[in-house]
Amino acid sequence: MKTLQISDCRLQITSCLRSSVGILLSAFCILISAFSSSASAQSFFNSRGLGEITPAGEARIAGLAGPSALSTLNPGIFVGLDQTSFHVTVLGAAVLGTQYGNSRMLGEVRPAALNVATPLPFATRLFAGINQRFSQDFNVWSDSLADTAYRRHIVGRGGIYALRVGLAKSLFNKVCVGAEFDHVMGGSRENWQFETENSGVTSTDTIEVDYVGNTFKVGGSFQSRVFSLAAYYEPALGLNVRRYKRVHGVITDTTRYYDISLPQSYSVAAAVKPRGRIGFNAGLTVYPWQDATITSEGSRSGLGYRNVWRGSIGAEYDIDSLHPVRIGYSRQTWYYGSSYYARGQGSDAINENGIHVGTSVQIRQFGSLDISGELLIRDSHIYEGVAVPPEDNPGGLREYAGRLMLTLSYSEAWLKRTRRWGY
Amino acid sequence: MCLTAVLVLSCNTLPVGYDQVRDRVPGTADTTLLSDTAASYVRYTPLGGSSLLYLGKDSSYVSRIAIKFSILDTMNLDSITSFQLVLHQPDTSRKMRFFCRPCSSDWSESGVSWEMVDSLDHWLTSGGSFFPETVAADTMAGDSAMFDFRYAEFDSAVRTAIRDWGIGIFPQDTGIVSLYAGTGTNAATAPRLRVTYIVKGKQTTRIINDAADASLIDTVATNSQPYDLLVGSGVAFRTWLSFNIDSIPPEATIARADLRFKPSTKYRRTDTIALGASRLTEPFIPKGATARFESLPSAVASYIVPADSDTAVTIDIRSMVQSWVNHPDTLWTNHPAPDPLRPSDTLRNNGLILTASPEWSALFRLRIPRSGPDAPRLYIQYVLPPEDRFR
Repeated sequence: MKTLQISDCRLQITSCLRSSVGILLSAFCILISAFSSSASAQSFFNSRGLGEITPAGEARIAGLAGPSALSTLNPGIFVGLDQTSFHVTVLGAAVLGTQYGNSRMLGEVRPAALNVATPLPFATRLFAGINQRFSQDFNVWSDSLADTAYRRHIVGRGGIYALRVGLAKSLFNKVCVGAEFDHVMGGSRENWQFETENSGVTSTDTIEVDYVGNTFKVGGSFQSRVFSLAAYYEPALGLNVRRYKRVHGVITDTTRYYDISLPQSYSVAAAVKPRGRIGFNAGLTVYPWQDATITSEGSRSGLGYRNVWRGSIGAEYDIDSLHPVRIGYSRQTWYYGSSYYARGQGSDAINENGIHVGTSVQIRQFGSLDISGELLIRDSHIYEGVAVPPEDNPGGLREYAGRLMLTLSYSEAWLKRTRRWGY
Repeated sequence: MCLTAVLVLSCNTLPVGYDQVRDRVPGTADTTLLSDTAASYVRYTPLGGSSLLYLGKDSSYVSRIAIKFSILDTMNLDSITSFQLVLHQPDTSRKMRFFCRPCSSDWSESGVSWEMVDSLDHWLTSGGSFFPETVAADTMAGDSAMFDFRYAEFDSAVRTAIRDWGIGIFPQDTGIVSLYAGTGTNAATAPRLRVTYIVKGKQTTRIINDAADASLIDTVATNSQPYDLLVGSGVAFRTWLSFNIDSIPPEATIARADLRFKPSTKYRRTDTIALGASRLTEPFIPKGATARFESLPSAVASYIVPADSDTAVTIDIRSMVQSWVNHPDTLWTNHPAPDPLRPSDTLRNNGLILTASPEWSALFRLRIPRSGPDAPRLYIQYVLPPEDRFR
């Protein structure tokens, strides 16, 4: 009987592994195919708002559905850091958009994050990093204009990044509090091209936007062998925005300046490891951004953003001490709505559901390579809080996004990994 | 199959997600403009370098041909026993009697016309200067013909004139035939000389290709009124049109700019007529017929002469209108010379010239109405720049 249970358990683990490997392979194939296209984008929705909130640049956290309070985005996560470590993450993403019976796929690959942390005397830690906060990459084609063979091809490239540096203090090897300073900067360039049927470009209007701002973040965590709790808080973020517009490459429009104010955001997460090999976690990040404002030429107005949240649950199972597998589910609503043009009235919420898997490969004398694969479904089929089936709203944009994230984690002294959150 | 589907999806340009930016795109605007000024003029234009030569005369045109050959100075002309001219024509059904005379002065292919020997000097008489001696007379028929010159009868001055300045070919019958020229055709159909001469007591035949050729065309009767707007080939009839586009914002992107009119055909030798629109780089007033324009037309349109004369000519001059819109007059008034920001004067909206395209194409002449529903109209559709991401 006991042998049978062990066999069942191994069968389930093997099945789980096969499923995970299958999802990873599928994501890999889709990404490789999508990169063969010259088009590139993260999301068709990125043309609006400040763009998509970029997930934490850590494959380990992404495989657990992204509880960001348990990632290095939390300045208070470094409880037991006893050696210098860094993470370098590369992200590949492919998006299949469907609308009005049409489908189009886009893809991109880029570095996602760099994070470094090192212990200092008196149980303090110094850490720094570069993370993308918002992505503004998109690529869309218009319908043909009436009576002409010309089409608009709009390509947006850019994003907003945070250069982070902070200090943390570990207490009793179980608690850590930290604070970081973020210099937020970035830019985007949108090319609005008129293209002919033979792909010739007849004219291009260019809009360039620069962003700059500063903010700080505070966070803390409690981590024990069985239970962990983490949270961080980021106050309002003010962005100074400068916009240039060039028409046909000839006429230079006057420069415009805006001030964008994003209200605070906060994140909490908890993790339990009741048995030796398996652990569970849940995360919640809240963006109460309904009061986000833009000030231009002394006139302040609302940006029309929403109060939204992102929730996640995940689990990690150690097949053995060197081979963990991770799985998770996430759900969120984007802080801005999709265009009302799809329906002709109002603005539809963008809802996202995601399935996440991941694993790690240990690298002797170096650290590890964390791998995650994510499948995200985004749609704008919600109207005034009521879900509308896609067949009743063919104009609603739906996206199927695949993300493959690779994080190379270096530890100063390679050890048998008894990894804790954040490093 | 799955991979193929993915590749197809990643390569298409379907309008997925366009609705997300559509609220930033201003709608299109349409406007129709009538030409505020118009004029027409006629010029003898150099027709050298064309792929066809025209020979003949009728009630409207007369056309001669001038040809030069690259005969080496070292060739002993006294030793020539046979001197033959070989010509080819595309329309094998046509016949034309003609005769040839030696040119009595030099001319340049790039500048020769009915009136001019080159870009600076005139012929002594209109239509070309030639010796009175007829060196050959025959009939062009079939796809090609070889004509014998009465070479032995010429004195050395005529022989030298043929070698240095070439010959003129004059029509004798009514009607106009076209012949292959040395440019734009293969060597087999180009005009050439077949020369037989004696070298060291041995008879040798040599083929000499033409070095330059041109049609010399004059119009006999235009059958038009003084203020008619005309466009035609051969003798170049050109029409200048000017449109005031101040109503279009300088930041607009021109999505469509069609110049449309319904001409009446005054003369034609083909059913398909090609018209070109070129941007003027100098003001037409006061320069008139000497005002320069871009040598290559900005737009070309084919006009198939209809049986019911109900077809309009439509020329897409979008790029020209876009250039005018990009360079409003305020750029010159706000930046007087020598301001370095002042654009080149060649970019100003000086209007456009309608011409035959090319002007050596099969002879035709169209009349464009000055007013009324068939007069030239410029139909413009434009789009303003996109709105900002944040508003």
